[in-house]
Amino acid sequence: MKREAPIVLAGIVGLIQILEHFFDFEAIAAVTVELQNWVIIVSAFSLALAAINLAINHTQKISAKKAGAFDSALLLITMVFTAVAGIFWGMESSGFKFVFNAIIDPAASAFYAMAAFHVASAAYRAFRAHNAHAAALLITGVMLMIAKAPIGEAWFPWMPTITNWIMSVLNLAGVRGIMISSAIGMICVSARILLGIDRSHLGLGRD
Amino acid sequence: MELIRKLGEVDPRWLYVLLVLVVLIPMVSPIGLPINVSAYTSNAFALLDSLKPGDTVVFDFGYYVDGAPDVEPIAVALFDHLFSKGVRIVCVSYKNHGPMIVDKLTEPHVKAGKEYGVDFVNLGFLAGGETALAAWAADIKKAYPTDWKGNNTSTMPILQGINTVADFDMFVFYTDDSAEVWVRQISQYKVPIIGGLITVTAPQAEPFLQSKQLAGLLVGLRGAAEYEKLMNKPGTASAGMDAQSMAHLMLIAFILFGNASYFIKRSKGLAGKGAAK
Amino acid sequence: MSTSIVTWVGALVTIGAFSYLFKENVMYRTIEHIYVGAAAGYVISVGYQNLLTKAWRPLVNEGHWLVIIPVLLGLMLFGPYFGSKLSWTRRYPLSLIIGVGAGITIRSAVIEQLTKQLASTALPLKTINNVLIVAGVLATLSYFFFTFKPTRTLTGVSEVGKWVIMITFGAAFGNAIMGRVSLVIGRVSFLFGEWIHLIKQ
Repeated sequence: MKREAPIVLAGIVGLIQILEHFFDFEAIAAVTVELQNWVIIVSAFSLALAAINLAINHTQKISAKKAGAFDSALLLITMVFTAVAGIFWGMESSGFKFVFNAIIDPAASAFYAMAAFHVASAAYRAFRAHNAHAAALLITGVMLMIAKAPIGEAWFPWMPTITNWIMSVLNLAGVRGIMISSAIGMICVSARILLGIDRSHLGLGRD
Repeated sequence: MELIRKLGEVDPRWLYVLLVLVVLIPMVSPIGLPINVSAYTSNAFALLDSLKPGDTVVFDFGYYVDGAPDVEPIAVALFDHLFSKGVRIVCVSYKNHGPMIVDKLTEPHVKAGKEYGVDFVNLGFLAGGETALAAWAADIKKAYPTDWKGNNTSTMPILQGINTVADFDMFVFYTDDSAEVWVRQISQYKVPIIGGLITVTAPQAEPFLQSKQLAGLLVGLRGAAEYEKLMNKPGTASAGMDAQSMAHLMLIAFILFGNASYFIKRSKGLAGKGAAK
Repeated sequence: MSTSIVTWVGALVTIGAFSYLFKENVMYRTIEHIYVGAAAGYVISVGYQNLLTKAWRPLVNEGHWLVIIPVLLGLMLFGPYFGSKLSWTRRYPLSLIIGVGAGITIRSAVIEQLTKQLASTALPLKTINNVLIVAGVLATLSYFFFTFKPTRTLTGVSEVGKWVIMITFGAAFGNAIMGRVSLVIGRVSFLFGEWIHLIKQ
């Protein structure tokens, strides 16, 4: 029962979502929306899961006095401070806004921007036209970079016409082919889940 | 030849410094290269410009602050444009940084006299990803019984007469992901959808534009700069375009140089066919 | 120079993060941990806010008793923390999330991503562009046929598909580089504009 019931539950709630799309019954529509709103509530709980796992992991690191215990303590202090500020003072409080604007925003932006430096390094060391396919990839990419930069447009005014054509014909065909393939894959995976064939997400077999 | 080969082995940290300088110099002393407006941007601008005072539009914030430099200038430009036309904006967030971003972007407009709850509202973030999007699209007041600040949405002036996403005049989303989620969940409501995308995912949205599931597309910092030009109001995006030009030139030079170095090595038998260096 | 403490802290955080590009160091590690802690705390706050809006207020202020069900399901997510015997409790909330998600995906992907995209590919073969689009889509699709042994013709068509895919990846590559450059522009603008006012805002 512990094994079958969750599979049946997933199948029923999924089927209701599908039925609502094909039948114009108010009752089904109401149940559908209600279930979707339940998912929002359950997902809100799930947001805390990662934070709890993180906290457990770093608390263990501190208690074991492992290397990096100081960093772990910093992490926990910042986590608790931010959570307390958000929950008790409110997300519009100056303390919470400070954490977001002075730490989260610049740190996240800097970490993400670091990819550009690695791209620069890769452009120099790794983006090689080893064969004809790689050359096609590189040439298309470089043409796009020229066309999208104002200086490229000024030097090669005909370039945007070519790259627009590439984007709206060849790129469109390629992306669409990939999109249709991935849609078929997605539909199959969803169907497997609803039919109870795929149970890996429930961790079954690992009791 | 030997020089080219040796330069191919330069310490990457010099390249990092060079990239910063190449971006910084044109920002300190702008060159003022002209920006041509693409058909994508002019079409999206025409659609948004056709909105009338009193129309209500959704802005869905689907990006995290890390992707903001590329996509946020679009949102800034659209807030300026639509608020100047008297269009009302309902802000929702597909990603959890959204509510804080909305707070920041609407602050200057509040100072300029826009009224919260009447001219705009920040409904906030809902956990659950695509399911949450489907939920609020079907019944906005059920999914959002209160806004981000805890105000009741059923009595809010801006949301009077609005029950589903079909009741809006236009739907605009900003994202650092692909457009697929919005096309899947919003397209069925027959509301015109405009995507403000990060440059990286723009090619993936092309089929949706051709199939008319997306009414318009604005792409990255360049798209924002073009939009600013159409508004005749140069802003942060336009200021970054010279830097973008220079950085592109540098990276193209790197690619050409790296390949020249590779082929020289290969011709001398120093690099294998699959060697990266 | 900026006089805002938020800008100053933000600048130090940015420099600390970028310092990794030169060498892994103490400043980078410290900032990394502070950032992860703050991000986790942020997510907790957002989750709490959602629960307040969607569960607590409807239950207490409006008497919507039905929300007790998702609240209980949400609490069941934490069962495994109280012993491995309670690990089964997590399956029910996961079933709800994944079941509803799969249902939504099936119904919308079939129509919006499959049918409409196929319909938009059925173009009249009157222009070269239309012919290229139709042929390109079919060739790309043929590249993903893995379920049966390819014939000679199919191999040839999928080779064309490979070229189309490479050009598609080339477009993605060009755009990816452009996007990354925009991110550096954002940070440089912050450090040299907002912080030290070298760039005129």
